[in-house]
Amino acid sequence: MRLSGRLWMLGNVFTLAMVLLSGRVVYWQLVRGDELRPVTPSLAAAQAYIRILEGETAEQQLMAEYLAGRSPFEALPQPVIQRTQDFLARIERGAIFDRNGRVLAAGEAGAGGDTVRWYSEPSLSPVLGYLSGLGMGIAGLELTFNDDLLGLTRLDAQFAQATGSGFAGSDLVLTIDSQVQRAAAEALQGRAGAAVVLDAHTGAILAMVSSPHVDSNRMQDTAYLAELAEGCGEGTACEGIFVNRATGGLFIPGSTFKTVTLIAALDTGQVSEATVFNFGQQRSGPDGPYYVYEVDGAEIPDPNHAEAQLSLELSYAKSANAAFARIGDEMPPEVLIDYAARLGFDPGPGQVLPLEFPYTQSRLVGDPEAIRVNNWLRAVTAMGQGELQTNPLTMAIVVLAVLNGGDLPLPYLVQTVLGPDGEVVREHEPQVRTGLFSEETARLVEGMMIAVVEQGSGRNIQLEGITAGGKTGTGQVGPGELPHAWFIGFAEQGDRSVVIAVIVENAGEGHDVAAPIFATLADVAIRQLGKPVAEVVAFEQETIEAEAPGPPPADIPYNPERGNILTTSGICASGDDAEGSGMWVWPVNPEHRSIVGGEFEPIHPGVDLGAPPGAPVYAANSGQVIYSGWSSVGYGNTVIIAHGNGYTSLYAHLSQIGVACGEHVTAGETIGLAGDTGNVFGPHLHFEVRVPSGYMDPLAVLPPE
Amino acid sequence: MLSRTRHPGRNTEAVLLALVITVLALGLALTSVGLQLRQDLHPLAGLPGLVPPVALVAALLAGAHFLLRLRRRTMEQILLPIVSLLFALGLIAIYRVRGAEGVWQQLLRGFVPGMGILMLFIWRPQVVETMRRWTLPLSLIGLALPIATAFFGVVDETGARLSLRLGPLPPIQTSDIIKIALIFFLAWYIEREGREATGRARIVLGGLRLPAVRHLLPGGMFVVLGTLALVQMRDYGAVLILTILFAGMLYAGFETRVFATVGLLGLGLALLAGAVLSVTWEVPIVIRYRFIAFVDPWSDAPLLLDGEPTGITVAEGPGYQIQQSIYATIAGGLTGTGLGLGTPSYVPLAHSDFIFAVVLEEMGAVVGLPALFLFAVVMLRLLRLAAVLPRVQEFERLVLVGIGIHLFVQVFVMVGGTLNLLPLTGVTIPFMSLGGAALIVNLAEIGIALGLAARLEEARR
Repeated sequence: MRLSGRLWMLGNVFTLAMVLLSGRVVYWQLVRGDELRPVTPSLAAAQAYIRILEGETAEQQLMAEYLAGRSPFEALPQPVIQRTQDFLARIERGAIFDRNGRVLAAGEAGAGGDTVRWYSEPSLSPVLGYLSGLGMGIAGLELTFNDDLLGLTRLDAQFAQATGSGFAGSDLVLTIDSQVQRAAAEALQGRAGAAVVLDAHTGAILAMVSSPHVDSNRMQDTAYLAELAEGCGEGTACEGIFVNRATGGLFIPGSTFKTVTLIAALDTGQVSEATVFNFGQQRSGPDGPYYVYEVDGAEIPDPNHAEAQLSLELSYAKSANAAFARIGDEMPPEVLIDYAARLGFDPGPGQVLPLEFPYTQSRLVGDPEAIRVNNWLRAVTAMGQGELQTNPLTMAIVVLAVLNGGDLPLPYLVQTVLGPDGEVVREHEPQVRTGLFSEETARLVEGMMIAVVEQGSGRNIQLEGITAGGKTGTGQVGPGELPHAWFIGFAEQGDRSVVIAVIVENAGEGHDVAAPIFATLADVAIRQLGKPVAEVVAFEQETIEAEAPGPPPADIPYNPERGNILTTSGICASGDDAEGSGMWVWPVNPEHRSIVGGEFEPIHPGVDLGAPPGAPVYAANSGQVIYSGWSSVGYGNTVIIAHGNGYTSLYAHLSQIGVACGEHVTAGETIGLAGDTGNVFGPHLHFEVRVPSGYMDPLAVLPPE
Repeated sequence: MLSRTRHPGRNTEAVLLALVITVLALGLALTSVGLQLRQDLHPLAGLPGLVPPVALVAALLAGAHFLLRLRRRTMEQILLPIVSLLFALGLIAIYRVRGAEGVWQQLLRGFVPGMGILMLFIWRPQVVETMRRWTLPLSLIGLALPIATAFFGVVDETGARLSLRLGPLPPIQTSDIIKIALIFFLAWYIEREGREATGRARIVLGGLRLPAVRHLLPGGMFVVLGTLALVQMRDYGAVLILTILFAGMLYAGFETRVFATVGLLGLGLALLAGAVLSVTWEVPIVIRYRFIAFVDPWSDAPLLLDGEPTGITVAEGPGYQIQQSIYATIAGGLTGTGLGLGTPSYVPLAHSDFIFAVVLEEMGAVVGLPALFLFAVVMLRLLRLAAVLPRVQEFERLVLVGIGIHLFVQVFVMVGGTLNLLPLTGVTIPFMSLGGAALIVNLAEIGIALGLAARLEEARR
């Protein structure tokens, strides 16, 4: 174009302005896009959302936000919330199963017609995590496998997303075994602590518990969050309630760390099977006799044995501090640093284990220089005190490597990702870190771990027909506080083999407190490993067939894609021996039998009966109470009664509950008072009748008015 | 016979216009299918209803095209296709957020009358000369209408008086008329006074030799009166356009530095006055909010009105629509969410001021950025036409420059506001936004340009 003078200048201005506008588009899309991207709530987006909020790390922020009684996603700008909801409304989030096909988490139709996430195993809350108020995974596997659960890793789902139609997410089949998981949760008996159980051949995690923990089912409940915010500060019983202690805790390992020292010393030839330690003169103190190892003028006491002389094996078995302090003292610092790093203590670049779930690296020492120059620090570190910090998973990894001849199959939680039609989207691929130490070292350490159980500090572990080995630990935390009780070890029977690590916080000696838990878990886990694993896809169908002869088909089926996964039966009692009759009675008095508001329809699979607050609510049939308590899925105070033959009935929004879980009730017995708890507009009784395949119309089973 | 062989006709334009019609038809059809699918309706059910509007657009464009052919014009073959393509993109976006109703509104209240005027200029290019002769009375009417609106106009729901009802006619937005009146007035005034004024600068201010008050007064008075009327109407976008038109046309119209300086000074003074008013005067508090929201649309600072808290934050108030358009832009990404598949309805005023956010969300940067490029091409074509006109046609040249500046300000200010590059000012995007009078004026401006191209061709023949 031929332009001159002023016109040329104007042309330049016009062009430049358009270039500026284009640049601004590029700026928003490329520079700020990831931070603000609203419509693809993928894992990266979830983390980006969290990053927006002020603070240090994502987890800390999350905790701070929750402790302040807020779900961080609700603090997002309105446009993000709208677009995220728009996006998520088209997706049916995938379910999570245990290795036997038991449902651990699934979407369930809430009282308000919306879908809510239901978690069946409370003790798995730290592992599974939970969703934000918007329906996005923000902790645990719900976060790390968010993209899979939303189906975004599948091509067909991506296509559906691009064309704007709805689609189903993928299901996860975990390595978790619910029986082992429950046994572990029960073994902790509510004490603060954590435990992991792994299949020693594959690294598959069979159980992972952390106590205390939040309840995934209640993370949308503001009253509950406020309760946590008030009651779970520093120094309280539920301190660190948001942390999965099994993978994210940082505890002093005590003598369990002697295993790492032993591996390093044997592998480098510093000690051998034939090494014998002399402990010198025994001294007597107020707590009994003890030996002493002197380093740089400081004394390290060793009260763990009476013998003045012990072989390496017995020094390990009896946890002789003096022996391991000597090994540490004499060990070149780089050797200790190197072997510790290989096993997850202050790993260097390339040594961090690429686990598929969040995992906090353990710490050998605050300042690596200190352990090079300070012999005393190195000596106490080698015997398991000093500045060490670790978690049960790291210690389990040490045992896992020993059992696998110095190789490490990486621990994992997700066995299979299943598409909506049961097709396999992704199968876990075993990953092995090889050559952490020699096979010979592994063989020797394994033998010495067995000696711990047979003749050392783990003698009180007695398992019939099971070979067990391990190491006790007592992590000293400070004067006036009970130490952390540890046990790490393995159990074998035939070709079944499990690795277990347990910590009970501030509970006492490892061999007193943690070793019995190990024994229980070893027994359950070995037994469970012997059972055949159900094919998960087949499992759903079989359940329906097995229970089919009972009640008639439901009027409103459960989501057919999911099968009968949402009966929520067996939440606190199996209800298996419940026996109802064909005679149903109305759950409210005659004057309250009008249907108010909610009729029986797919988005509201029950009836709302016009019972005023305080009106008595009766069991509609005889049976056993299988759920009694608060339900965060909008039902408020809820009772579920199993009537046998596959029937259950549900009573929601109660102001008071009058029955305990497991209790047997007869038809017409008062089970509580009507109210308006949960997600309601006014007081009423929400009443559902469920069968294995779905929901029955309650008016069809109740006697006519 | 001889001329037919010499002139290749207007085949380029014909092909391009056919392409535009295809784009429009495809775009509307895809949007319809997308919208139907989202509601679980039959995907093709919406298509029959789209035939009449597409046919109407095609007929009008073909009419303009054959009128040009009839007159044996060969110049400026890409202006009309580009403008109609931009209009087509806008129409698709309007259909997306306002449905068939919006499409018909845009066609019947804007496109049909606008194309009518455009064809008038093509058919009788000498109308421009007639207008030049009658510039003074015409532009005074153009000035009087907004002033009348400012006092007797229809008050809309936001308290602004933007339109005037004259007898049985539908209310017209008079602020669009004053812009074109100012273009003609300044072109006429600069041509008439220009050389004389340039030669004899009277006032010396510092090192600058300013022209005599006599020369500045008429133009200045026009702008000041118009500005006051628009301020009274609370149409600050129009005030901005008026000010920049004044500065830009003075800059382009006078060869010497003096008037350009005056123009730029005027612009600076207007901006300064705006800033001063925004902190002292109560009414332009809207402007102040827009500055606050421009600086940080996500700010959760409480919004104050006269120092009193209003109970909402900046992010919930004036920042809201900027946030929405930014998220729409990001949601669109490179290729867009697909027609009918995004959520552009979250953006307030998506059909008018924020139509570009709809384009960016559903059609993506791959359409949005070329659209900006096409706007630049339209402006540059206008400047080029001005450049090739004979020097004696000062008036026509200046009118073309004015039109170019007018389009530029509209696009830059509004898209800049949409993308948070500039504080938000409510103006329409030429050819794209849903709007009667604004679209008519913009199409008339293109008609003038085509008419002037025709005159030039006649003169050369």
